Amino acid sequence: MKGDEVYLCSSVVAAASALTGVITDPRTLGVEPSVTLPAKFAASVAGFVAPDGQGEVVRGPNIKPVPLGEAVAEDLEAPVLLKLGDKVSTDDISPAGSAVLVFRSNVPGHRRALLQVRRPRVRGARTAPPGSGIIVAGETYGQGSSREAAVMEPMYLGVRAVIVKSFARIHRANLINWGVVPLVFDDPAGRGRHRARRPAAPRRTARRAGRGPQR
Amino acid sequence: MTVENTRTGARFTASCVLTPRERDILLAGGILAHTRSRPAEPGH
Repeated sequence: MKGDEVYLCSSVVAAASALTGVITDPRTLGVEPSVTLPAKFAASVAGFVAPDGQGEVVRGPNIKPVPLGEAVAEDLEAPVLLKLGDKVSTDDISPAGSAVLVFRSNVPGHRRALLQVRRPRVRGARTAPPGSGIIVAGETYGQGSSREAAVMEPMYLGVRAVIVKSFARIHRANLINWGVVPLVFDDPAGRGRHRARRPAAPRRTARRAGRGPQR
Repeated sequence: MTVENTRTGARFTASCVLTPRERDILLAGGILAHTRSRPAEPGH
């Protein structure tokens, strides 16, 4: 509302500010207390009825099943679908707004808005049938919000990996949670060696991924 | 890991630093598939 003042801050700053009643730098409150978290948190299942697999999920016409990711292959060969610049936000990837909000539970429908802010003329990646592909981008890819649609829609369209100079933290976690490999250039200059290509073009970029967990 | 441009033959390296849990989730195809593949814990 008009006159409101909104601050975005870390949870630690929020906690410190809640204690003092004013915006507070937690570093001014002394030594951080040591807290030992339990190995496991108790969870109650009271009132929870496990599904028996026999029921039918009733959905409205504009509510579609959640698309699922695919297991990561040992080797992946896929075209670079899009090459983007720095600071691509989740709103760039999956825009909000009244025109597309109606599709918030309909990933196949919402995908048509994918990246229309950044690349309005590139429609191939948004309309192509699911296949496989890679997105290349610059710094802080996925900044701005935790919007999971910004991963679900590219994933639905076949994006299997994103190679960037750096990720926004939450978006990187979302990529992992939806089975999309988040890769960071060891040498950011390597980004300039790739150009996006229409999805229908012959595949030309390969990624060989060992199963080793790191590097 | 190594990334190869199969058109030009150019290669470069990229990193994907993962915790063991992140690695398992990624290999399963996401957290939904990962959760589904795990046996239910007693009492949960």
